[in-house]
Amino acid sequence: MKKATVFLAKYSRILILLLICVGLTLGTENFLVFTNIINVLRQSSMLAIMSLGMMCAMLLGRGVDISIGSTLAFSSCMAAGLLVNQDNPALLIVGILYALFIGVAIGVLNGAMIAYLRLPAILVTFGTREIFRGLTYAIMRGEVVTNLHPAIRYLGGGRLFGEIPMPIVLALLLTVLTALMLKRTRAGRELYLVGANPYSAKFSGIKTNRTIILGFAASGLLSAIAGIIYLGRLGTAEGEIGQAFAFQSIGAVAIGGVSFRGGVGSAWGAIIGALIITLLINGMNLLSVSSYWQGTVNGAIIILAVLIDYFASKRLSEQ
Amino acid sequence: MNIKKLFSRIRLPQTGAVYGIVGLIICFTLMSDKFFTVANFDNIIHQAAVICIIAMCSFQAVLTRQMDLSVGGIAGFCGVIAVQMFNEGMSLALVYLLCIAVGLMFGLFNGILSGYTKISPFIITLGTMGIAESLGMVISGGTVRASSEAFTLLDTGKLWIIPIPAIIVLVLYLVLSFVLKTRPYGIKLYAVGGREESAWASGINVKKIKMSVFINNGMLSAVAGLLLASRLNSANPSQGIGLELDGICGAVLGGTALTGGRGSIWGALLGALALSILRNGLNMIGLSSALQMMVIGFILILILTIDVLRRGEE
Repeated sequence: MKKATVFLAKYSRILILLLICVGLTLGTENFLVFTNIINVLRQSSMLAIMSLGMMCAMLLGRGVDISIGSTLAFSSCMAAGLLVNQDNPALLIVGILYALFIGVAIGVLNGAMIAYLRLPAILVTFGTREIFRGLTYAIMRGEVVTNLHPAIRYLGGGRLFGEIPMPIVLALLLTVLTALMLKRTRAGRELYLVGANPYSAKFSGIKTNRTIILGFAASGLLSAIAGIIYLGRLGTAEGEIGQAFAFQSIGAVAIGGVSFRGGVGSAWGAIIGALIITLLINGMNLLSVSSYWQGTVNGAIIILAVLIDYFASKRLSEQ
Repeated sequence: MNIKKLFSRIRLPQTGAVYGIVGLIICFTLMSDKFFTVANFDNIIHQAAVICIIAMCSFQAVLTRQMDLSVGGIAGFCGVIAVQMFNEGMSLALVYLLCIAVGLMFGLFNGILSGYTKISPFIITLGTMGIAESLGMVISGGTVRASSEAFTLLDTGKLWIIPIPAIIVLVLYLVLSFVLKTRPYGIKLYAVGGREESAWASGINVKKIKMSVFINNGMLSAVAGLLLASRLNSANPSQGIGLELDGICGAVLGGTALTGGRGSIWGALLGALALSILRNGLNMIGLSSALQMMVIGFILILILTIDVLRRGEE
């Protein structure tokens, strides 16, 4: 009995995912079609990358990073000028590095304020979200950058071997990398330790402030990577992009089993969460439910997931 | 009486908001000749009313060491259903009552979930914010306009020469101030925010107090949503989003400590006023909305930092 409960708790996310898939297969005609499956995976890949970043920030237990949408927009719009179609490949690489640098810099800024000033992450990132969204609008002035480099467009819209869209490949690659970083490297383990118990982490010699900055920097870096892929997919850079990502990825990591108290969660959980959110949106589209319901479903998922997490952990501590 | 003694009698105001208000008024008056006019101050009063009420919500939440991000979402939702019910031909009084009841339901939902479990209210209210906004979209499908000018009564109405929004704000603040100062409930709010364990040990029902804060917030957000909708004579589910940020800014600017248990309601009012004057003035000097976003973001972080430094000194 107890074994069954533990098994269910461990694989409940995959079970939910399968249930949604079975439900959609039975409920609609066009779900279990190769093109639709690829489509769902492609749609979910952006959210998956953002959710990985959100998870890195949330593992620390200091709160969520809601500036990720603005980080995505700011880094990609700043670098867009370098990523246009020209003959110099060095300039392209500089452009990509520039975008990644901006992402990391915003993450470090967030992390430093959260670590050294001991402020709640949600308030700090609320502030930086406004600042960088405003900066993006101020730089772009409502214009769009078009004519991006083919290599960038390949990252967002191209297909590997002519079949698998590149965003899926990149999302998978980043998931494996994040999972390896979290499980195998010292810095990754420290993220979990600081999140689980900051005091004992401090007393066991971990530089907690540095770890917090690292977690938020990872979140910024992943947002910047997602930004470059997003540019490639749209083919243009504009100031509006990425507004919905913060809310969606909080939903994704919540259903993916990342605890809001920190210290619990895995890269694969975040990916499954992103898939569940995208599947629900896709399913609602197939069932021609109004897209206005998306926010309700997303919010309900966040609340349900934290409730399940809360009651499950209460159960475990009682045993 | 010598001058030295006179100066020692003058007590400087405790919150930075007062200096903020005075400084901002001087700055904007110098920068724009349209700022220091009766028409504009009338305008500020109408704009500030919404932020002042939201700041009241944020004040109560921060005082009890919680956070309510759903106030803007609830305000938007209530505005939408108010306009729709008005267009269906309901009387205004009934519309107001039903809206406040809906706000109460949202507050109850937040309150039960975050008062009676140990889940961070951040997350619960973030979810509620999304739900309220999207339900508003489902009901209205976007912006809805009121069918007649009568809907703007709450905004344009005047009692003698005082605009109704100002009266609503003053009455609400007076009531809350009275409750906080003299009623047991107010003292319990401070106690729960100060130290939860001690409050619990001295027989206060901490869970109930925490829940009650969200219920108050739900109803107050409904009032704010009604004011906002009647000012614009239309409603959009998203028009309240972002108010929670202004509210938190206002409350913390007015001296409410983020660690809970300390702060005054009149400070929150001053903070909210300072913020409204800032927003109005930035519009007056013609700053683009992008730059305004940046300024507000900077100020939020600045206020939070000052709050931390102030705590460090004590």
